[in-house]
Amino acid sequence: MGRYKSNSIHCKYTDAMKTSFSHKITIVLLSLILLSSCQDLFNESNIKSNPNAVTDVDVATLLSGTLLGVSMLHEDTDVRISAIWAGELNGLSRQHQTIASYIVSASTFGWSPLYPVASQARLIQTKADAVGDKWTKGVGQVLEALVIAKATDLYGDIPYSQAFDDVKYPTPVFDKQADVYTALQTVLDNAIQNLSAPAGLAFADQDFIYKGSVAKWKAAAYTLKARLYLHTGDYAKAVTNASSGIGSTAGDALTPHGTSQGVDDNQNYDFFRINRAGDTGFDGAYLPVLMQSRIKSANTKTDETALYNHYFKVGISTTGALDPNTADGMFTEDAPHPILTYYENQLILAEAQARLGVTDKALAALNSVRAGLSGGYINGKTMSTTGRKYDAYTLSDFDPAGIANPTKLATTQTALLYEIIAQRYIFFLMQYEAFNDVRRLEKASPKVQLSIPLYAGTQKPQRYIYPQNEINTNPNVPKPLPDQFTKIPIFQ
Amino acid sequence: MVITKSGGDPGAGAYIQIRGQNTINGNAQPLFIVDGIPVSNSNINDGSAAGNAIVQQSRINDINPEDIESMEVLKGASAAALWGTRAANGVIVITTKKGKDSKGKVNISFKSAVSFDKVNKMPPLQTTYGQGNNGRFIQGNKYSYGDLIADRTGGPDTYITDPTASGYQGYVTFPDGTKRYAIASGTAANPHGGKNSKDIYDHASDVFQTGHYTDNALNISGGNARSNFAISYSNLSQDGIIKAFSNYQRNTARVNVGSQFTEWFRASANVAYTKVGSSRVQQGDNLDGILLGGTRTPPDFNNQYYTGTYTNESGQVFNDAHVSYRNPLGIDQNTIYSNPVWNINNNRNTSDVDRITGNVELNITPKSWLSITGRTGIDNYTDARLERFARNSASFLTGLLSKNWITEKQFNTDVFANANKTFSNNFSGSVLVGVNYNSRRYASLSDQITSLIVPTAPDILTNALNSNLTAKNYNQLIRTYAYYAQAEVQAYNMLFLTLTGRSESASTFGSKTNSSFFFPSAALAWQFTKLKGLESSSILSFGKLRLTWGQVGIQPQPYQNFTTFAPASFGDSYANGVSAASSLYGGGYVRSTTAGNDYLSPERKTESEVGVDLRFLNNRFTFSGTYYNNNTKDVILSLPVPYETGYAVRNINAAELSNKGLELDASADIFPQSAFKWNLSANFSLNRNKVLSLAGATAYTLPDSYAGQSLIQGQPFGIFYGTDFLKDESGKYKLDANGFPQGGTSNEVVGNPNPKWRGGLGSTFSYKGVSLYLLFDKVYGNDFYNGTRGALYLIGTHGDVGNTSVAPTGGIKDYNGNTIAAGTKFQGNIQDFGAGPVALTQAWYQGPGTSFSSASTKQFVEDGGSTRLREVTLNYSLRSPGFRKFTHLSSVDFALTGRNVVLWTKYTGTDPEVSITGPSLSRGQDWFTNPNTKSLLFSIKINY
Repeated sequence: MGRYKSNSIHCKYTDAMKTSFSHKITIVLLSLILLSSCQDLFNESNIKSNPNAVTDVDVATLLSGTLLGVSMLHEDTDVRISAIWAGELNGLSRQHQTIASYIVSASTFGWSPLYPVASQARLIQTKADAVGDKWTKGVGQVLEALVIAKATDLYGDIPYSQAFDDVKYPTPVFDKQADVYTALQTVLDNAIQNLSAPAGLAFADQDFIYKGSVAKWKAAAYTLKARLYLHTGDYAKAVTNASSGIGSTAGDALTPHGTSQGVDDNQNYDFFRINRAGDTGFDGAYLPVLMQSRIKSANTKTDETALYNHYFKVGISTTGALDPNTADGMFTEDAPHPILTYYENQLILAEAQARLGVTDKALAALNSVRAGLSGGYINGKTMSTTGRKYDAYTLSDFDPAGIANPTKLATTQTALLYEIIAQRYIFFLMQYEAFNDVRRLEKASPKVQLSIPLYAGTQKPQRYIYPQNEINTNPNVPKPLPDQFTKIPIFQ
Repeated sequence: MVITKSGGDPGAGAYIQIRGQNTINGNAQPLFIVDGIPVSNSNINDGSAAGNAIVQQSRINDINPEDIESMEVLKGASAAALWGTRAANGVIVITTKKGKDSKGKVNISFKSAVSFDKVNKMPPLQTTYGQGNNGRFIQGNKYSYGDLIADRTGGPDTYITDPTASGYQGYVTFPDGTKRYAIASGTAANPHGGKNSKDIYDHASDVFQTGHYTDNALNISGGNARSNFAISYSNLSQDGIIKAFSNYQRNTARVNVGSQFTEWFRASANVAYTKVGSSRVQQGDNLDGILLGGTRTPPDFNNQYYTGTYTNESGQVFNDAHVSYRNPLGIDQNTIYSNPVWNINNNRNTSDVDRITGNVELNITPKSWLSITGRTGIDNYTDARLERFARNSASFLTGLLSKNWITEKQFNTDVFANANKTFSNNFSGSVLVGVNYNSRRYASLSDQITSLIVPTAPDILTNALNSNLTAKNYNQLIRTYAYYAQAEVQAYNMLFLTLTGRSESASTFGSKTNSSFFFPSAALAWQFTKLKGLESSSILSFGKLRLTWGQVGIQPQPYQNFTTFAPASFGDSYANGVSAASSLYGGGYVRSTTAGNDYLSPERKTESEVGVDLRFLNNRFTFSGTYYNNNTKDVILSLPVPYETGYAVRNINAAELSNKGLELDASADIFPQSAFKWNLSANFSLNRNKVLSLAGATAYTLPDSYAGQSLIQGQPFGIFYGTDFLKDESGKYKLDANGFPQGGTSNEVVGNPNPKWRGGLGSTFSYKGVSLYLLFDKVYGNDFYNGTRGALYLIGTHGDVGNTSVAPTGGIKDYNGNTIAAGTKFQGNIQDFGAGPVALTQAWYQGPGTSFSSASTKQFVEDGGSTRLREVTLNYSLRSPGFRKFTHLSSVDFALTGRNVVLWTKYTGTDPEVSITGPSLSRGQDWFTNPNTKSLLFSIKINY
């Protein structure tokens, strides 16, 4: 009552009433209560504007917020489902147990925050244009490509050419996956061009990935281009781009994490240790089996014990369970999480060169990763020295009787490829690129695959189902709805 | 009208629905008016409490029921037009008790009641199979698909106590000095491992008790020819059905005074103060929810041993261990699901409300035909809430403390003039014109810390690193002003016409839309028994026909016209998410995914109704019937848009909803002439609602939905939109090679939570001072989603999965395709999906057969209909002249009441009246909801 102003009062009806008032008390009462100019009542800052939110921010602040979204998209449920479907992780209870049986429906999946984050990346570019800045625009383009690449890799044909313009295209069409890949290469070309500008806005404080280093963003753009060329089988272009890509582990794009739950903790830690402890794990998964086969094996140049212990730990969720190592390994609360890395860049180079038949360069690239692992570095952390051995291979190790040819493949090229894809599989734990590989290698030539068993049934999951929300809102969703066992176009 | 309690917790909020759902976005609850002033009935579920599923109170519970003189429910839009854009969901007008002219005597009345409450229904739990997996006992395992308990040897378990033995994990020392060590797991040869004990425990009673409350109310009133007063005080003190941290304390005081100072001037004032303090426990989809942890506990695990000291393999000692079935030794920071007994003794959630409501009213009567009334009132309250998760709780291993302060302030003023005129013997009329101003402010402030430095510290926010502190605030101001008028005409003593109109402006309308909207209504009543021929009818003693039509608006929620930017934070269904608030992330912002709309205007509900009121045989039998039809246009919808547009929702005046229904009431006085009386009353109502348009969207899924409650064009409001097993063109299940159905891949309509009809039957027997009242009610034809059952199937504790079946001749296949040989006993059930009997075993219940999977929502949709004996009351009243003379009291009334006495329902979970999401629009869902109660109440009322 205290904030009520006694000055206002009196609206239309008072004229009609006035004549009949014969008592002074009436007038006193009315002047206390009636209102003189009603519209003025709405002239309050808490009405004219939203007191709880801002209505605009500058491009650097938006960049920082968008980076966080991109980071989350690399540690989210979609990534964990991809790890399960790649056979790296197993679902053991509740929802994830059924996901591991490949029981999913349209409502299992969602495009938020995926597309909203991509739209923030697009908004960065609009805001950068408004202030004439090339650098933030370039970063915005790299982020957009990262997110859209994830979308198309998991869903195939997706909306892109008409996306992010709700007024003009309220229900965007679905573009062919091949067109999306072409468009992404163009976006990344533009990003590289923008990032090559001689000057731009400083954003070191907001860039928690690269601290404002334009050179690192440029290298990351090349690595991403190389990844996309590898997917489409353009091995020569993959080599060219990877050669300009991330050149050392110092160029790794890693999301930093802290120890505050729900604020900055590693999201895999949060999932494995807090939110869904024991619901997933590595019992029954192929990854630990593969890694065990590289411990005390005929391959005397390799010992995966340290990495195995870095990834897994027994008995965290319950007695005897092979759990993610949330105690002192890859999934601690403050462990950084990879987005794009030097190791990936080198493994793209290795695989593309091997497929082109340039085995010596392929081997050199693979050995550069082994040199890094041998030093203990992985995704911003250092693994134990115990049982850590990654001596450089020579081509003769891949002879039919070579030490690094466990499946006795006939040619050096295929044996080397097997080692490269195994290394990729091991390295990409909790990156969706592992699931991309599993599907891509069914098609890539020469055909070399890991023998990953299925968790259930006879059909291998090939894609995510278009989300129920999309089916509800966009009539352009492909019909009939492709199920989880239908291959996406680039891997067909 | 439908009133549904959200749960059995003390003071739990209620869902009230009058004639179907009329809106989507915002409050669908009716407007409460106390002594002419709108009051808050908020049920704010905010802060971390929203995620932690604490049942909040509805603020209307703050009123002392003994203060209420009368309560009137205005259902139709026309009746509500005078109350503006908040009245679309109906209006409940409460008038409090005023003093009467008692010729100087002071009337004192004292009422005292004591009530005993207990759980009325729990989900069934199995007690035959122990903790473990695939038929073997495993200590600490998540499931109850272990060994057959009856086959164990009995006696104490074999512990692994030798530190050098394999499997040694240290031990927990309980407060009574006993110790528990690791137990060896079962093997193929011995499925029991080291587990010998055959003891089983009833987890339905782990944390529940017979709750009770006492309610004492004192009313003192009196008056003379000019002035009157009424004073009241009441105290309600309740210990809930949960053994600890579940209570409710309400103290209220009220003073109502009025005086006719002169012929033309009257003034009155009412002031009420309420203080409510309560503690609530967590429920629902929450690792610390008491029912979640409790019902998932294996039957062979004793939850009463919930804390102790853990000594690990290397001898390190950890105090305040949290011992739960997933963490049987209480290993530090390893809880997973909480033990409900630990939870109720360690996690605390309190709410403290201070509320003051009051109004001042002045009446001036300058001429005999004219009166002017000015009425101003306030309703202010603060709610200070605390949530505390102790260290080692399941959701917050390092502890959490959250403090929330909520304030709501409402200010309301009406000034109106009323003029009466009698034109002739046959015509009279009155006109009322008025102006209304209303202002509502809401503010909340919340602070939260995690990783408590001193776990046992008092509730101080400095007990954490700054990096583990989050704070936020929210402010809201809504103002409306309106002019209104009402004209009444009476003709020939039998025709009554009322016309109303209201022009309203609200601050929440978009800046680019009209600033004011007009809502008219008309009502005509014809008391046809006043017609000459019928006036003296001995059969029909009263007859009235009613016709009404009206429009009423629904205000948009505030601030929906802006597209905003907010500090970035990104979550995930299965992880807690990240936030730019961390110093690691530099405080970035992102654009909201809600697109603002400058053109938002009020929703407009139009309702027409026709009704008849009849009384027969000198009012011995009565009947009243009403048919209504309403339609809400421009319903504001957070319209889901394709995410690739960059937005998730756009707030827009888009949808159109309709409700039609029938309301019938009848009563009969069976023995009008005798001293023994029997009165019967019955009511019946049905409501059909339909979503007429959704602005192009195929489906809109309501927030808080567990069964996909959605709006779909052409369907009733909030139907279940979920999966069914894969079907062929003819609608038959496509079975796999083993004869099992397969998971569906997209949604369809799988249930409807709206009842087909509701009915009630009341009966009162009375003889002299004794009366017996019975009230039955029935809800028919509503679906209920039993997510709890589907979840417990996976865990293995549900009663259904404790069955032991025997494989028939020829063997039987399980979901994995393994054949169970004929005659073999197995845990599970046998069912025929259409290709012969199959074995529903752990593989099925952890695959398509659980509500954790997306395979089929439909398999957990049950008939939620119920019949209940809602109330039985036996009254005895002492008021004979002899008694009065002897005691100097006017009367003493005794009453014994049973509430919610008997429930008949096919629903297999808890009482289908409770709802996991409180008074939200998503109806008919059960996900580890705290159970409902039944009560026995004894009261005595003494009038002096």
